[in-house]
Amino acid sequence: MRAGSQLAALPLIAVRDAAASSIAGIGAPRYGVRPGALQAAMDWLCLSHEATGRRGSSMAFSLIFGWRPAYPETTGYIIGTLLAHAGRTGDERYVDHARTMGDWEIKVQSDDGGTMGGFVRPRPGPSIAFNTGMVLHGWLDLYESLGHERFLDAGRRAGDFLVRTQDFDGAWRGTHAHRGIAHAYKARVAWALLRLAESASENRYRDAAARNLEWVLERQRPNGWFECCEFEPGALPNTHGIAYTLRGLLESHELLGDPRFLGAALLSSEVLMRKLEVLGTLPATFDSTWAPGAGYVCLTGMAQLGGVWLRLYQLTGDARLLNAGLKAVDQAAAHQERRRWKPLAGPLPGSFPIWGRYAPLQYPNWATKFLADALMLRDDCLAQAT
Amino acid sequence: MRIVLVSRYPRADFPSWKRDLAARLLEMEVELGVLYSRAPLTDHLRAAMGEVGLDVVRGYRGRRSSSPAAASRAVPERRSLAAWARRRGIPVMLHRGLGDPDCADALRAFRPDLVVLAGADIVPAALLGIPAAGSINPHYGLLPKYRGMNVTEWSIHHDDPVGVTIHDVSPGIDTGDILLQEAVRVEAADTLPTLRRKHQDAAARLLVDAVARIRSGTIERRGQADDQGRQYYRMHPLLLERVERKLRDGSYRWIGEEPPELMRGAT
Repeated sequence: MRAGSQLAALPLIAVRDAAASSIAGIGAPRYGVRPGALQAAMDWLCLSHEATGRRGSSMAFSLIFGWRPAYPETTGYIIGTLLAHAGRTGDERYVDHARTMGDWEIKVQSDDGGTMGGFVRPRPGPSIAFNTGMVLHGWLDLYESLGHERFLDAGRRAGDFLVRTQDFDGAWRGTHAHRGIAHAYKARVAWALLRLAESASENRYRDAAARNLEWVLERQRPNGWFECCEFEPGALPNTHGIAYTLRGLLESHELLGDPRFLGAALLSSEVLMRKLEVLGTLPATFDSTWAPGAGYVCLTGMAQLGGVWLRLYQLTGDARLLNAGLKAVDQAAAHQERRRWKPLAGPLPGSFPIWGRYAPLQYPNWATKFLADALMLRDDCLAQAT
Repeated sequence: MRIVLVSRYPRADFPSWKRDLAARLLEMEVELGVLYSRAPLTDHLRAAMGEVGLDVVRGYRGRRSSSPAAASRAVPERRSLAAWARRRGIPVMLHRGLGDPDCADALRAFRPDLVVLAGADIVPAALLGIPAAGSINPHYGLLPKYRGMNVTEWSIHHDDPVGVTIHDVSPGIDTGDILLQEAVRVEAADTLPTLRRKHQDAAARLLVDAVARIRSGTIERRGQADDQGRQYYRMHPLLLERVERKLRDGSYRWIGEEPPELMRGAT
């Protein structure tokens, strides 16, 4: 298929999803990860890098516009996925892709040490705290894997930006926050700062992380729901943002040893596991009573929550989390595109159905990244459970 | 004593333990009624496709075919509890859902002293308040530790004993007072289907015992604290395979072992 062929694929995919969603409601449960799912996802991530001329990873493959430009934020944490897969396979190609991405991130790092929002532009927009945190993860992954000081140096500059722009209460808001508001999902930034504190042996990064985590904990209601977890003012929290929050909390527990963070992640997880069971899937959004708020599934969030539950299983040994994680990963993986045409050979769509409001009609690079992460965790947990 | 058995899918309610239970209750000279949810045919079809898949078609075709091969795949000819009850003049109440207003009206009109759940949907709070002596349920797991679904399988996964608990039905999931409990002995030849039948037989026996004790006012109750157990959900096929393997290869801790003493029912 030639460039522009994505438009030919669009109606086929739309009709398929319409049929699937009408048979048994949204997210018709399908069990089983297909053979080669992880390799297909990793091949696609590499292709997303080639598609930009080996700058960053293309933000997405769109069924309207084709390959999108390189996207700094998500390129940052795709680095870790590539390195993890390299560690499992011994294939140095993934290390090469990761290193090239890391160097590109250094090249586009803003003068203030942060990472700009959106795509790289001749006149870059303001640095965004969350985006900076995600790229920080990538640099730390490279530093830990390869030992190259330039990645730690870039990480320090990012960490200094985060400390400098943090509000007194631990949140990031205003100019350096998406839509100017504070978000609970920046717990993932706190996680990055804790990692930086260990690599750079500097307490101020840990202190900044701890301030943010306290702020995040205060946002959790007794029923497990997080305030300030929505992406946009007035919107409902998306499973993508909820999963970011939970992952940030549980990993911060690992680094700080504070049981409150683990407890917070488990509280929300208990609710969502029950939702998955009762509803048969996870709608993209929930309101403060955990009533579903959307008629579509955010597949990124589904893959991420599968990964969160598998990580929690690794930490707690609670087999119910393994059970829920396997189901969530199955549901996400069931929607992985596996066509012969390379741009559609391995990616995960933003939503099911494909026209759902989260990243509609496209395959975001971060969706595929989180699917790959979840598939790797799945393998590890099944081996652990033997 | 007036008792209502609550179940679902009247056209396909075949498990023999329910007829056994009903027969034993009749021997105790109770006045019996049966209440069903998911009565419409469309509910059956949707559930059959969702829960059983194409086996529902194979089963139907097997019944219609005279070939031995087809017969071996067929769902065995059995009489549903609904049909069994009708033949004996036992009232059978059919409803779409237990939450339907007419369902509560029908139950109220029967004036039950006790409701016994026999593979029923979750009972709404509005129905729980109708029977004078409450509602009881057989749970195929040892409470309080194992609440929820697939608890036999989860117990095997964790190398814990398996068994049946008879408990009061409360608004929570499997959190009501425990009335009777019995562990089920697992033998080397047991599989999940044979264990399920053992649990069903134990459930029927324990329910009859519980009814007798409730009627005589001698039932003892043991409360459960929320933090004494966890809620389990349908087991993923990969974990289910491992449970089946533990039974096959003999690695399940309780194979051939005498199960622990619990609040046993009269044998």
